[in-house]
Amino acid sequence: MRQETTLLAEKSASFHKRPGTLKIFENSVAWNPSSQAERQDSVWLSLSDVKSQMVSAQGSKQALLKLAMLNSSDSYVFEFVRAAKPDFVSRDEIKDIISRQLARLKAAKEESGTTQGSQKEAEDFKTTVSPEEAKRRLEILRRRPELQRIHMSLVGGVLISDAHFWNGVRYRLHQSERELLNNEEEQASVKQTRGVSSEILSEINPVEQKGKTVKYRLTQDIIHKIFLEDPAVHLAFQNYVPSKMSEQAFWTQYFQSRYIRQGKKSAGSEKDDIFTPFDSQIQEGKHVKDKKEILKDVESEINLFLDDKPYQSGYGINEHSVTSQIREKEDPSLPLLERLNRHSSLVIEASKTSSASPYREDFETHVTQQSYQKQEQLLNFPYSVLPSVHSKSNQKVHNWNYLAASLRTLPGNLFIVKPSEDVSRRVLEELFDT
Amino acid sequence: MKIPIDDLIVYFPYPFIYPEQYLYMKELKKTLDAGGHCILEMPTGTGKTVTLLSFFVAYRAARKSIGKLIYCTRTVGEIDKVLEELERVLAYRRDCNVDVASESQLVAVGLTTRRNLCLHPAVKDSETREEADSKCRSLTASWIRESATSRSSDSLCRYYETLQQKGELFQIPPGVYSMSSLNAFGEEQGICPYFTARRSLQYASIIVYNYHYLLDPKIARMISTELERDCVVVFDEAHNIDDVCIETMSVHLKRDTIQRCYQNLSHLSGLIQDVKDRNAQQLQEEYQRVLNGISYLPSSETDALSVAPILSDSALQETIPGNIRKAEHFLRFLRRILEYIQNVMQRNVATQETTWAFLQSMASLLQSDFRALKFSSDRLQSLIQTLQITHLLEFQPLQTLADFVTILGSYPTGNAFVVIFEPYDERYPSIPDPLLQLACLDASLAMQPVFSRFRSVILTSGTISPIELYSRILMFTPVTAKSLTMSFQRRNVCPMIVTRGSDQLPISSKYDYRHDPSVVRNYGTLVMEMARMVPDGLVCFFTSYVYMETMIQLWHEMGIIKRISEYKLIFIETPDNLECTLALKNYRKACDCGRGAIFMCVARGKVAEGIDFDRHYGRCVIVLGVPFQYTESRVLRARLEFLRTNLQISEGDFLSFDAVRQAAQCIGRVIRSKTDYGIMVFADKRFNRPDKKNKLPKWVLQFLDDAHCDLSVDMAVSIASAFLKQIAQPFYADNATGVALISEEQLLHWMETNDKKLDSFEYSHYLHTSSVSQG
Repeated sequence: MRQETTLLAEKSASFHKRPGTLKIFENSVAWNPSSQAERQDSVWLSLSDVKSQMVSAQGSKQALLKLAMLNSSDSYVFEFVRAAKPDFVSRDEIKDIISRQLARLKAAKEESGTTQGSQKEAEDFKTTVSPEEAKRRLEILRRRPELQRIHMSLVGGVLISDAHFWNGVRYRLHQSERELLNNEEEQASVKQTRGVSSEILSEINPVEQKGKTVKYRLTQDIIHKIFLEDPAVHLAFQNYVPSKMSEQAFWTQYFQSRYIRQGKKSAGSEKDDIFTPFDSQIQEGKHVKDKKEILKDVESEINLFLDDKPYQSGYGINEHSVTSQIREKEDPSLPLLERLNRHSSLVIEASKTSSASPYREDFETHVTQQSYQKQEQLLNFPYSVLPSVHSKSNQKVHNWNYLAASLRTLPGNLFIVKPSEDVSRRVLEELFDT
Repeated sequence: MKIPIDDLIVYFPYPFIYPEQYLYMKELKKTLDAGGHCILEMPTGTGKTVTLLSFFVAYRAARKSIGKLIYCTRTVGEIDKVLEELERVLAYRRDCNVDVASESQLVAVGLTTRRNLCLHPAVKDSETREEADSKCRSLTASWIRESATSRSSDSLCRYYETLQQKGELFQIPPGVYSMSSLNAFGEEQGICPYFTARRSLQYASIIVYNYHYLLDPKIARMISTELERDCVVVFDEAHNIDDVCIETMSVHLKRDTIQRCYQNLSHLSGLIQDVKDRNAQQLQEEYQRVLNGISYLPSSETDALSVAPILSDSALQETIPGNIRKAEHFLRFLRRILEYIQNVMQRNVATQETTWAFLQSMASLLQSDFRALKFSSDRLQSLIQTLQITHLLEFQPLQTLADFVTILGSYPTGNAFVVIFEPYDERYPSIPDPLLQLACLDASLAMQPVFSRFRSVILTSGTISPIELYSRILMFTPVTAKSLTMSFQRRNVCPMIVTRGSDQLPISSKYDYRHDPSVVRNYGTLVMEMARMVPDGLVCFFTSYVYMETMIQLWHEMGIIKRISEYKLIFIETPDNLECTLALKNYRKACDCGRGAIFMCVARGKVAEGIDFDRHYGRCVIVLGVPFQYTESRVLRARLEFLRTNLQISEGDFLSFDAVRQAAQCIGRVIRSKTDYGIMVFADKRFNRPDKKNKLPKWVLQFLDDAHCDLSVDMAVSIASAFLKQIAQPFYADNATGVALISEEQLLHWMETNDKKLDSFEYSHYLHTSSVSQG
């Protein structure tokens, strides 16, 4: 493979901190370490494989040249040093030569592509592979050790070319498996999102405060949280932006209403508050909900609603308190308490898909899986002396299976579902049975 | 397993028994044999319910003379739990083929309000109990049923009609009927679950219902009259029984009650006029009935209302005095009383009078004999029946007024009651909120009839010490009174008394320095550090709503809330039932999914009384401050004085007893079984004083070494982390056998060798912590 052609340039450069010489040929780049003992570490690169080159800035600590490869994510970094100083002169020389050669190769390739056409299909494949496609292939290999092994032995051993290999993959893939691959890709793109953090957005601190102007900085994250915590703002946002006001104007309004005027709320400034109508809308919405509906899945042991004390009105020591309306007016802390409860509930609701009451259900399925005798034993044990029955670690194992099963059917979940071994093996078998 | 208790064989539905359960059964047997009352304290999570039930079922099978078991609980949730256990006991007995014939006759039923036991679509979604009762009455009252054209008419409840068709002799098949299974049974048969349950009280062997059905004379006389003397009554979680007794006998009148009473009166007189025009006969009949001294007899179970809050039957045998026999006269009589009370409520100083003084001034102004007063409740009932009123909810205020004067008239002398008037709430002096209350001071009043009526009354709870105080307050002599400790195989409870912050400044909820920044900060740090350390759920108890609100507000300002929220989600108890339930539900979810949460609630609140934080729902509980009652309250001061003069209980004694039992109740919430474990922090320097500390239940004291008292926050945190580390070691149930668990053979062996050895169980401590680390 290594056809030595005209040597264009030769400079001393180190690779991986090892000193050596870098040679540029017409179609390739070679680096050989200066010490003979490390001969086997020499590098040879075909220029047609080089995607791009990058250099470190003039005057920085090191004079570096980085060659990024087309078909892999590898890259090669060479450092140019002369007399313990960065040697930018030789680096730039090399750079110029490589870029010239790259341009020439590109032109030649285009030419050959038009003239030689299908005759050099394999070569063509190799070179036209887009960076995205390359990434995708890499990803597929990375996630399938089995396939990677085959790729290594076939392509790495130069039995067939890389392009042939992928051609084969593509050819043998049935429609369904293809979908599977695509699905996997999709899921891979949904990274394991973090849940909503438990932290409370207690106050957005201004970044700057100069005289009468206060500057706030909002990120997507903060805006998302504001909407979560204050649905009225979300409603208002949907209503006003962008038809009635710009986003910036909206947030200015928001801060004026929620932070700056907070102290003097009683002064009747709420009249021009754009949020008030939505606040009341939300309040009304709360009451419309059917109580039975809400309490439907609440276990009776924590359902306080079942016990209203007999003969509530006018009886009982607990009545010795001022009516709740008075308290609401008097008490400045109630909004805070409400917010805390609301916030925590929201955080829990947000992660609902991942943890919706798996505790009980799972326990039951667990029991049914056991033999009858075992079940007996479990039930007869006094107050669950068996720590494993109730212990959390055990639960989690079940939860994982349960979750995986339920998550597979629901797209866009918090967890990525790893394809099971079976599935990938089946794909491979179909791929490579002869 | 089979457990021989003297000559009795108890079938216990588990292969092992705790030593304290065995002792508990022995005490129960002693009590039932002797036929007296008893108080038993057994730590939470040691299976009181199942012990009691399996013992009673065995005892009943052996001695036919014994009557029903009446099991009183505080909440609806507990009713279902009890019935669940009972089901297990009965199933085990069936499996063992014990007296199958008679056993299959057993009916156990759980009774709750109509709101929970209704199938009629228009009634079951009612917001409150009263509303449901009213709606039910409008569908099932006898005159409505008579006037209805056909049995299938829409104006009637078809479920009740079907039940009526089945006849008086209809009995539900033997079995255990909880709320849901009653509803399911009703649905299947098309009959009313509530009245089915009500009727079944007569033949059921085990009845589970709320305290109030037995203690509140207004309800008890309607529901529980037909229970025979040989019954055994159990009050579970009885540590607050004196409060319940007092509450049922006290009446409060507020300004809007008075206003609505006037509306009620004019409405009633309008109705009387109507009836006079249409059917004067009806009123005449009523007059005759009243004249003849026949107090009102409900013609059907659906008509029956709550009745007069009088305890002694003798009062009812007297005839109703002449001045209130006629309906109009009675209304005029009530109006005069109402005017007088309204006058009283216009004063602007707080007053406190004995019932005698109040009656004297009232009688002189009304120029009437107060002998008639005690009949007003019954007279009002009779009138409401005669006028065939169904919407009872509307007449609730007048009912309250009638109850007020009835109690007043029934106890003219003596100091068991006191009339207190306050023009405004002490804590909010700017808001006029007049309140006239007839406060009952004597807890034994409501309890006395139960004690005298039934053969055995058993008070039991996880925290009912000191026992002798209960018997004094309730004025009875128990045949057995015992406090059992917990046998354990590893130290699964870690109580601590924290008295100082890390800066060595004392922490306390004492009024003088509860708002002191250092106290607030130190409490905050304690909660925060624990939130950081403890896995899953953490529960915080404050002394009152107001205190909780201000503390959270202050913590928020100090940035402590923000830091706590980094570790755990925060949920807070609110006075609203619905919201609180949802907060609890989400709290549990947060614990289930491993995120962990902290629940802030109030001692004496709904959550402290009825919600369990077992397993990972509560790994640590912190009591912030000593939960004293609001001592400035006039009612409490009157009660303290009553206790001092009548029962020789000193004020300080009672207050700290009451505070400590509340604190003990709070911490007991986290331990619900022996495999459970938890840290319990008492955070107040006053807990370290002997008068508080020694009042804690025995099972807490046995773990409370000197090394765990008088700690600072940082010491407490390091002890907690050491405890959590140790408890996280693998635990094998086998290690516990013979120590905390006894199998049948072991039990028999012990009894053969030395019965006394088991008796001594409660005195010795089983510190086998070493075996844990080896395991």
